[in-house]
This record gives sequence, C-alpha cells and structure tokens, in this order.
Amino acid sequence: MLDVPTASLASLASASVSGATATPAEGGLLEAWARVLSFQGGYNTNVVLFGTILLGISAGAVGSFAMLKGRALVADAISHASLVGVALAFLLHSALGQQERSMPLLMLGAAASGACAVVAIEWISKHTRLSPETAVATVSSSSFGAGIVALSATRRVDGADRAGLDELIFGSTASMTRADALLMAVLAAAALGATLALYRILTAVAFNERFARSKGLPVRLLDAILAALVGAVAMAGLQAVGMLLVAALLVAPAATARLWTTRVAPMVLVAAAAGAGAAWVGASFSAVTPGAPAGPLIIVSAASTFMLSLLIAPERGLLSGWLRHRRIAAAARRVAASEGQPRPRGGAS
Amino acid sequence: MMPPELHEFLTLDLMPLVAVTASAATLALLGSFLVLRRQAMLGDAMAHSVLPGLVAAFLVTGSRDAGPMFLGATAAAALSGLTIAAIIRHGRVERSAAIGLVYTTMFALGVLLLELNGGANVDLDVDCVLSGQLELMFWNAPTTWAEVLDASSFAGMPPQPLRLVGLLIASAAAVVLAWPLLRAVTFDAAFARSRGLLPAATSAGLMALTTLAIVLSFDAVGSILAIALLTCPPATARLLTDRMGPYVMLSVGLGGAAGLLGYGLATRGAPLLLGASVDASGAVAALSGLGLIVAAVGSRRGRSRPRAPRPGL
Repeated sequence: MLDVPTASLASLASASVSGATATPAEGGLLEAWARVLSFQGGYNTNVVLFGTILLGISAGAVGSFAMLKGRALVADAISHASLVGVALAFLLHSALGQQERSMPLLMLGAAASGACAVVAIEWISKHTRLSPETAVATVSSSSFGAGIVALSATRRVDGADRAGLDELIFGSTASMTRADALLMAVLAAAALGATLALYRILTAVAFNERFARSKGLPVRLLDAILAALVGAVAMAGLQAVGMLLVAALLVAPAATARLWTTRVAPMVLVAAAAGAGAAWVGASFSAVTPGAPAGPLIIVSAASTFMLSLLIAPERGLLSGWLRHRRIAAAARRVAASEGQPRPRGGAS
Repeated sequence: MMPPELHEFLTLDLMPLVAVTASAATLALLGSFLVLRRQAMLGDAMAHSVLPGLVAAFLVTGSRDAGPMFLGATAAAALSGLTIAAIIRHGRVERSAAIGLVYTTMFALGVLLLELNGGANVDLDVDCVLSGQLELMFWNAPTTWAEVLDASSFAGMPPQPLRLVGLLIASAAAVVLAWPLLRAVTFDAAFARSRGLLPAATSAGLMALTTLAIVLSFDAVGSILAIALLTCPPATARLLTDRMGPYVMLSVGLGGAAGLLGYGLATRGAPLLLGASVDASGAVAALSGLGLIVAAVGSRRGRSRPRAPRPGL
C-alpha cells in the first residue's frame, strides 16, 4: 500500500522536471527546445537547467587545473569507482529499514569509494613498477566491475525505491527532483568557490612545482585538495551526466580553452564558458527529446565544441596552421624565384 | 541417467562458464602486450570507443552477426585512434587527456545511438553492453550418457562460447608463431625495423586481434569484463615476473583463473552469502583487480624486507 504514493510521486516529479517532454505537440521540436533554452520550460526544468549549467562552469574551472597538473584521468577513476560506494550506501540504507532514496547518502558513499580509488592509484604508481596510466586503467575498470556486482545485489532488495540508481551510470536529468538539483548546484558552487579562492596557489603548483615547494607551499596537500575538488565535481555530476561520462566534462572544456589561449586566467574563463555552454545545450535538448539522456548529450556537445575549436582556433587551430603553412611556402617560393634557385621541395601544392 | 545436478550445470552454467573463461584468457593474453608497451590506456580506450561502431552496425543490419559488428567496431576503433593521434599532435593536449576525451565521447555517442533507438530494438540495450548476456547462454544439454556421445546433442549449443574458444586458440597460435617477432618489436622497435621485421605491421596485427577479442567479448560477457581483463591480469603478472615468456603465460593463467573463480563466486558463492547470485561479469572484473592489489602489496612486502643471508655452502 505504501508503495503506491511513492511511485506515483516519483513519476510525477520526473514528468514535471522533464517539463516540455509532456507537451511536444504544440510547435515542433525546435520550438520546444528554444523555449527550454530561453529558460521558459517551467520552474522545475529551470532549476535542473541552472544546476547543470553551474556544474558545467565548475567542471571547466576545476578541469583546467586538473589538466594543467596532468591529472585529468584521475577524474575517470574517481567516477568509475563511485559506483561501489553508491550501491553499498544504498544497501546499507535499506538494511537500516529506510525505503526512500537519499541522494546525499549515495554521494557520500560515492565520495568514499572515489577517495579509495585515488589512494590506490597513487600507491600503485608510487610503490610498484606499473606506470600511472596502467594504475588508472586497472583501478577504474576493476572497481567499476565491483560496482556492477554491488548494483546487481541491490536488485534483490525488496520494497526499496531504486529509482534513478541505474541512471547514475549514464546520467539522466529526467529523474532528478528539485532537491537533487539543488544539491548538485550547491556542490558545484562549493567546488567553484574553492577553486577561485585557491586560484593563485593552484596556478603556482601547476606550473612550477619546485618553485611552489621552495616557497613553502604544501604541494602534497594541494594535490589532495585538487583531487577532492575533482571528486566534488564528479559527485555533483553523478546524476545529471553520469559516472561513466563525467570525466569528459572535466577534460573537454579545459582542452577547448587551451586551444584559444595560453594564459591561465583566460583559460579558466573560457573553460567555464565552454562547460556552461555544453551543459546548457545538452540538458535543454534532453528535456525536449524523449529517450535522449542528458549525460551523453552534454558530453557530445562539449566534444563538438572542442573539435570545432581544434579546427578554427587562432594560432593553434588546424585552419590557421594550414594558412600559415601556405603563407610561408608562398614566401619561400617567391624568394626562390627571385634568386633563380630551383623550387624548394615540399612547397605548397 | 545423468545426475540431475550435472544436467542442470550443463544446461545453465557450462556455456557461460566457458564463454567467461575463454574471453578472460584471450583478453589477458592480448592485453599483456599492451601493458608491456605501456599502452594500457589504449586498451581501455578501444574497448570504450567500439560501442558506436557496434550500435551503428546493429542498426544498419538489424542483427547481431559478428561480421558487420566487427567491421563497425574496427571502423570506430580506427576513427578514435586517428582522432587521438590528431589531437595529441595538433591540439597540444597531453596523451592521457586526449585519450580520455576521445573514448568517453565515443562511448557517449554509442549510448546516445542506443537510447534514441531504444524502443525499436530489445536485442541490444545498455545493460547488455555492460554485462553481456550470460544468462541467455543455455544449452539444451543431454540428459543421458548415451546422448553425450551423440553428435546431434551438440548442435544446439549457443555460438558465442564456441566462437570465444576458437578465438582463444587462434590468438594463442598467433602469439606462439609470432613470438620472436613480438619480442623484438616490443623491446627494440629500431632493431626490429633494421632486421626487416615490420614493427608497424606487427602492431597492426595485434590491434586487429585485440579489436576482434573486444567485439566477441562485448557480445557475450559485456564491456566491463573486457576492459578490466585487458589490463588487470597483465599488470599483476608484470609485478610477479621479469621474463617475457613466463609473464605472458602467467597473465593468461591469471585471466582464466579470474574467469573461473569469478563466475563460481557470483553464481555459487553469492547465493550462500546473500541469498541470490550477483553479476558474473562484474565479479570477474572485480576479482582481477583484487588479484592486482594482493600482488602489489605482496611484492612490495617482499622487496622491502632485508634479504636474508643465504645459508652457506
């Protein structure tokens, strides 16, 4: 008897959050999308959309420093490992007789197992002959396997509300409640705030670790803080982007920003903007397209921005590189012609 | 008459067990060369990025035939390999970030393709991408000993385990035949090139075999097992031995053992503990990681202990 109201409430919440999905009839898909894009998709849709955009901003900023430190893939391991924690937290919660899903508790479990993964990777790459890359690949894949085992064990728990547990893998905004969206926004904002507060120190450590150490900065502590910030973004993105994909949200905007600028402050700004843009486009498109989960859409739009930048960015883009090459080759041809020399090999063709 | 327990085992468990063990051993064999060349992440990347190729092949042909699936997967793997190389070269993104970016995006594309066509096909969904479809591999096994000798009772076997066993044999044969080549190419590519041993062709052959192993494993045991078994057993073996021959054999042994034990624990051990079986592919992956942790801690202990003086002779 108790199951009925919970279930209908959950379906009600998901229906209202995905907002425009219910009413695609009036106008076409594009019109519905434009309405959500311009924040006219209803209150709940907006809460989720703003939360996801904040997540994108924060992922861009934190990801910039993670990438400068060469620790981008740690995000991948943290998020893969978080499944064990999520499933164990869920099992513990329901073993204590609780039936409702508690997102903060799930995130706490995720954070704990993510931290274990970071420690394991550090330990393996420091104390064995295996390369850091091998350490990341082994820890993330096998801990995800353990997570799938724990997840399959949650299927045996009767009566508990498993809604959204599977969706944490690939991410979906459709099952997010208002409280979930607020939690995501708060976590993302906290990570962003901490990054901005530590901006100067993180920059010093990222570019010149020796200098930072000579200045008496606690480099190891800052490494741990950076890993914690990455973890916070990964936890915040668990629901909207999903644990298998959230690492790309940390990498893609930062990589995009590096193509446009070589200085840190503009890089963080551009990365934050790229992250926000991807989240805005992806989450809103998912809201109007039934069956299209937000996570993959956000990642695909972030990656498209990167590929476009790779093509057209000034200085570092492929197009400007090609034009530069042509200019130089033409100049070389001119010089060669005026001196009556044979044409240089490998000139423009 | 056959005892009913044996008949039940043959019907429900034999085929999944063979599939898991064979694919685990094959992946561990091929992965050992990846780890040795410090390309562990590349295996991870390939296993993720074949997904859109598999889904596209499935959507075009409407079937799970291995041929088109392999073509799609190879195309996707080649595309992501080229993209990774282009990004490292032109985008000035460090290697691991470029790999992470590309394979996650390819995976996202695959999931998107899958979800957008989700209503139309019940044959391929996200769950079976992760964990395969072991539970569907039952064999209408013979009930009497006389039928065991009858060839017709083997006709109803599911194809995936047989394919995986075939692949294991083929890969093992290829590795044995190409052993001197593999050794030269792995340890000294310049020397190998000077002797006309074609390091690029050897790498390409290895990659093609690895892609095939990933495709066949995806179908049967899922992506989780594939990714973990490409890296964990080789990494464990790497900690335990310094010589290439024992290293590769140990890796295969560890992979096969993880497959057998993991399947046994998930389907026989877990019911005793939890009252229900758990995901077998995940258990094999987790067990292979556990093996690595044990070996890492053990080898660390072994090394840090001061060497005992040898008994004099």
